[in-house]
Amino acid sequence: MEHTNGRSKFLNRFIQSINGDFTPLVFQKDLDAMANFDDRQFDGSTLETTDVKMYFGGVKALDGASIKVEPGKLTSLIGPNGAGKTTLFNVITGFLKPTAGQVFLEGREITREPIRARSKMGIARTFQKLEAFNTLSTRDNILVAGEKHNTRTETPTKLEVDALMEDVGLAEYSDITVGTLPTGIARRVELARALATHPRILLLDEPSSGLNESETEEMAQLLSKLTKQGLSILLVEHDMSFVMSVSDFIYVLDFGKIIAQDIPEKIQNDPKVRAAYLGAH
Amino acid sequence: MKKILERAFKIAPPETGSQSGVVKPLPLVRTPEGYVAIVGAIALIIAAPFFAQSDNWMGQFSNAGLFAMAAIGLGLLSGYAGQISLGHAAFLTIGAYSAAYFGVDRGLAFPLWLLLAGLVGAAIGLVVGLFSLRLRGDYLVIITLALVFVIFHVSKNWESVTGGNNGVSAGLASLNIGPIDFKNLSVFGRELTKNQGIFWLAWIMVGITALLARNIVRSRGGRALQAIRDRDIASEVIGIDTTRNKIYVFVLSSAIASMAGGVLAVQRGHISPPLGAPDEIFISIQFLAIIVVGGLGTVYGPILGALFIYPLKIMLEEIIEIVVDLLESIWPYAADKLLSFISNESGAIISTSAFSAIIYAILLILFLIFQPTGIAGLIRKAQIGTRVQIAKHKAKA
Ligand SMILES: Nc1ncnc2c1ncn2[C@@H]1O[C@H](COP(=O)(O)OP(=O)(O)OP(=O)(O)O)[C@@H](O)[C@H]1O
Ligand SMILES: [Mg+2]
Repeated sequence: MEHTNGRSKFLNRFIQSINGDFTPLVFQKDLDAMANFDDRQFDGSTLETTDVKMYFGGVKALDGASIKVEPGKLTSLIGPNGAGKTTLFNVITGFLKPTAGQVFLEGREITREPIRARSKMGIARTFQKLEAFNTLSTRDNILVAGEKHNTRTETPTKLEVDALMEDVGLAEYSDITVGTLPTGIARRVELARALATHPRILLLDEPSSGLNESETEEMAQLLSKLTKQGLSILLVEHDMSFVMSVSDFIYVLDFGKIIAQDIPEKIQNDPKVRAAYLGAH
Repeated sequence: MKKILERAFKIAPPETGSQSGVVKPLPLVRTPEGYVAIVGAIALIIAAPFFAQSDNWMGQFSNAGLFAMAAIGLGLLSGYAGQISLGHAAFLTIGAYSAAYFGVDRGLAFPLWLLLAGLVGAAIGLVVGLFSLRLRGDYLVIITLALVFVIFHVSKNWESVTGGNNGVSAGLASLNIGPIDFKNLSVFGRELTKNQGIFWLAWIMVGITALLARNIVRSRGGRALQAIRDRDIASEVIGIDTTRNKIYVFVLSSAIASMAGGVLAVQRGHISPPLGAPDEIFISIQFLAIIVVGGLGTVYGPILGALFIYPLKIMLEEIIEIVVDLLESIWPYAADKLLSFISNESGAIISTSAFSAIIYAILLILFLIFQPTGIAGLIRKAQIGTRVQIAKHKAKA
């Protein structure tokens, strides 16, 4: 992008703007560098909560929850309805300030940091209840997340966005307004949007809901790939076979307390866990 | 059929931001029709002063242009960022008094007083924005409503600047850009009236504002605004500073409205405090009607809206006059009753401006229910319809 004919940079920009090319020059990256999403590495980080309590009046949504997510590992958080899983997500991402307890990212306490600051530190999430940008296209949902006004990330290139859409299985929906897409696909848009922020830890709240069997299988493969690339993932999920197949470690939450924590094989046979699930039904 | 629709969309993808194949934002104008419309509009604007029969209508369409300019600003705030203001008219008033103060009292050159009017609007916008937009929820509606009352009282009582109840003249403020005097243009030896000159000035300003707005909405900042409008919580999660972005766009829309108000004041000559704060609210509602009827989330919608809504008030006044005249000859009693109900005389139950505000409010509601995408939506539907027809035709051949 050289400025030709002695035209001023400003004039050049103006002419470009008339021609519809308004991408600020400083944000244009070397396209080839990002060409292959498969080569991408995440700088996964450790997340820890210690004895987190979250009371809503008399409701003890969390009553001393301590978990730890190791870098590059997929950690799951399971438990019956109303156990407090989403509440813990909200505490970790800054939507709720806990009644007691702390949240640490890479050993640094972030319990009182605002939402946006945590995003900058590399915490990304999806929502149990869809929160996609409905009037924007799939591409723009991803683009706006990647390019935002964040010091750590820059405007993603076309190839980066394309690769991300390809990876999450959204290529054919790139120009469709997300509000018109079925839930299962909109969930993937949310996932791609979270990934576009270059996260170090990704929190997924029931990513398989609304997906059919083969889509769930694809989702499992995608999550495995992401952890191999170094991303830390904290997963909340109701589909047990999904959880068992992808998790490195599992925490079981019931009435706001961690009642069990172990590798999937052990959790599967834990009588306390069975009792909690049976009790809830 | 699905294929045909897809092809239609390929040619005119939905108005979002970037298009397939390019990460760069949308082109300035997306379709050939768009170019034709713009060239046609420019030709019409250039030609209008030479053909318009009535100088009064030239004045009205200058006003409509300045309303369009202010409406583009409100469109950024409401249509793109999803924030609602009931005090847009207050910023026009701020601009009007700024024009009188900087342009007449201080005798500053046009570009300078216009800039200062914009800055005053921006500064007040910043204060209002800081108070209301830091909180989640629709505080902006309430605080802009309060602003209307504050501005009304200030304009009545800050006599050294506003002239109190007597008002102040802005008509003498300069409208010269270098050697070009928009109040006193002559083209090919033909003298133009003040209204004809201001008509051009107003529509040049509309063009500049539209260009600015279009560039904003198809860039990073514009996508961030739309993200905030759709989901403000999710926007924070992906790192967008929602508060700051909302304040930016409010300050910008305030500055634009203030500049439009400044030129409006020069065109009208004399400014006095509105009859009451409600008048400012009526005009603010009129602005909301303009952007909704024109089409939210587009830049050209507010321009169409202003062209549709602005003349409506004058037409309403004329219609009322005609009806009264007619009644007078056949049923004087009813004419009397009607006049005591709607007229600009004191003692009437509602003023004509209040009556037109009611009509605007009704239009606003009807559009929100039946045609939420406004006139722009109708145009888009027609565009897609034509494309589907063309694609069908091609498929047959
Ligand atoms: N903002 C709130 N105010 C009051 N109570 C709340 C709030 N958020 C959550 N709760 C309560 O806290 C408890 C835990 O809710 P939470 O949404 O965290 O459960 P969950 O484990 O995510 O359940 P599910 O599997 O149904 O999503 C519930 O009893 C819920 O009603
Ligand atoms: Mg939940």
